[in-house]
Amino acid sequence: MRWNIRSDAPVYSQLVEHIKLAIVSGEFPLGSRLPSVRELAAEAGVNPNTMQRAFAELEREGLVLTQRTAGRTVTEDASRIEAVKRRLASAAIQTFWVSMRLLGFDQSEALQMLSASGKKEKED
Amino acid sequence: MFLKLMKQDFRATARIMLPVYAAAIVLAVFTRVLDLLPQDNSFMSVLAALVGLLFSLAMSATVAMSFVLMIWRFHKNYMTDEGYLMFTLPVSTAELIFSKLLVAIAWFACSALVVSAATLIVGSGGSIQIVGFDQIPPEQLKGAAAAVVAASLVAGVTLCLMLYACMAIGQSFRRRKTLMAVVFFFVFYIVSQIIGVSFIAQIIQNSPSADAILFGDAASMGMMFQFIIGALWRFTGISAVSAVVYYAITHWMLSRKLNLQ
Amino acid sequence: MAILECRQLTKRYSSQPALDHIDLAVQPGGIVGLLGPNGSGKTTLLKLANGLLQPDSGEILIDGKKPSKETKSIVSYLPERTYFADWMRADQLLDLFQDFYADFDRQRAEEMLQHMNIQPKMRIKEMSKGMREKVQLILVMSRRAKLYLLDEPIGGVDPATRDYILHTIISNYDPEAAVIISTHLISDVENVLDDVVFLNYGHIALHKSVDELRAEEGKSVDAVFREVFRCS
Repeated sequence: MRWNIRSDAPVYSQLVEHIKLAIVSGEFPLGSRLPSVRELAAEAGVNPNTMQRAFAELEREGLVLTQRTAGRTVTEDASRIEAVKRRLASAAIQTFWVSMRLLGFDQSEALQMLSASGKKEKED
Repeated sequence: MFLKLMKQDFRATARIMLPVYAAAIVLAVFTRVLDLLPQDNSFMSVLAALVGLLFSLAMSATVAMSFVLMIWRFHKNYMTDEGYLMFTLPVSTAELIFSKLLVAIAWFACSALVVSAATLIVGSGGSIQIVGFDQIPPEQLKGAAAAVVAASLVAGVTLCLMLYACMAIGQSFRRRKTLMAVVFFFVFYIVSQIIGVSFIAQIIQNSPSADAILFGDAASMGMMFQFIIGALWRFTGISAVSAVVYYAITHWMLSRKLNLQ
Repeated sequence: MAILECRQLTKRYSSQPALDHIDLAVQPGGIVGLLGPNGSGKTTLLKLANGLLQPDSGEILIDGKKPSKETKSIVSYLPERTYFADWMRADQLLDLFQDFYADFDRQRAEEMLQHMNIQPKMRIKEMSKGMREKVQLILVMSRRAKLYLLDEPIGGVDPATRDYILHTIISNYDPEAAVIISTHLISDVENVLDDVVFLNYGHIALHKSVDELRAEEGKSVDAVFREVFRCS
């Protein structure tokens, strides 16, 4: 997993996003055991306290569970992950709309370009 | 901790002293061996002279080395970059000073032994006679030996501590550290000379046997002997006091005025 | 209790104080960046914490005590310069640290040396500058100390080694210990830091957490630093 931590935004929120993405994309599969805070912090090159806070946030959101014997695991609740996936997807879509509007395209033009590129994606 | 400091010091200094000692002993043996061989051709006599010369150089080197090494080691280990390690080890300043001091004294003693051994090796053919020694009772001789050993020991300690104090004062300055160390060396030297001279004057004044000795009035060997031994002990006492003063200066400088660059 | 505490700490070298009535507290578990231009007092602060210098006024406390033989056994210091004698070998250095520091983890140090391809019989004088610095860092980080004081740990080394050093600092993390990193290479270390302290010629110009600063300023700590210390 490539950890691309930007330097102009708080580390903590970026870590939360990155891990969410990893969970949603299946890199950290359902119910799997997560690496320790220190391991992931070392991998990402960040402060372990910040990684710890990121995990705390994910626990709060119910994506990660801490079990006394098994340590930290990804939730088994597929619907919760699905919900997160949808939220991330709609955020990506919002970004698309905002970008297109900034470039001066209206909605129908934007949709046209979208479906055209979608067909191309399928062919490749 | 203290022994560990000494271990480190011995390790660092043995690499230099042991080869010097080895050279001295080897040259002593060579000198003696060449002495025994017939000197009938010029080559042999030139060789013998050369080896003899090297031998005396080695003797001087042995003595000088232990002295120079003592200064160099204190400076290198405590006042250069190595000081960053030494002064952050979990040891007290007292331990730092004493470990260096004891190692220096140990090498002084070893050097004395090596020089004596080498001299004995070279002179082992002849005999030494000191006039009048057979007249002195053995207990007095033992007392004299004790006085001499004590005086040498304390003198060695005082010398080391004086030099350490000079270096410790020198390093506290931001610039011209070496110059200041040398300046203070002269200051201490002059002060100790003044004290030394007044001490001798005092002895000469206060000693009851002084008249007899000065004016050569039938003083027996024994009385003069006793007098000298007494003076030695007094000297040892004064030396010890100055050693304590030098130690205090060194300790204060290194604990409160440390100035590593 | 704070692992390191400065109370009105002042140190003067000439008329200009190197540290001017500094108040600072570092808690266990924190990795703090001490940032400032050269001559801003960073090294002076670290030396005071080590007992290598005495304060002119105010005090500095390590785990509540003045710097002494006891505090030295819980503080692991990496100075800017190499402090080993030339003639020593790597294994003798391990012996030395093991002798004097009860908290020294020899096995860990040996592993790290092996990792860096440093042979135990190599002498310091045979090593390149970069290697010496790595050896020193390995020894310092192999202690289970309560306070690590690192003076420019990534200054003179190549980027790959920098990464390794930062990686070591993170993996070594101990919630009961604190790490203070003094550096002017901010962008390399900011992700690793909890808090940053900007030291501006004897004064603390800023003391905040990295995330707080980034959230407030919308910039990296490096960028904020350049603004605060602009040479105009």
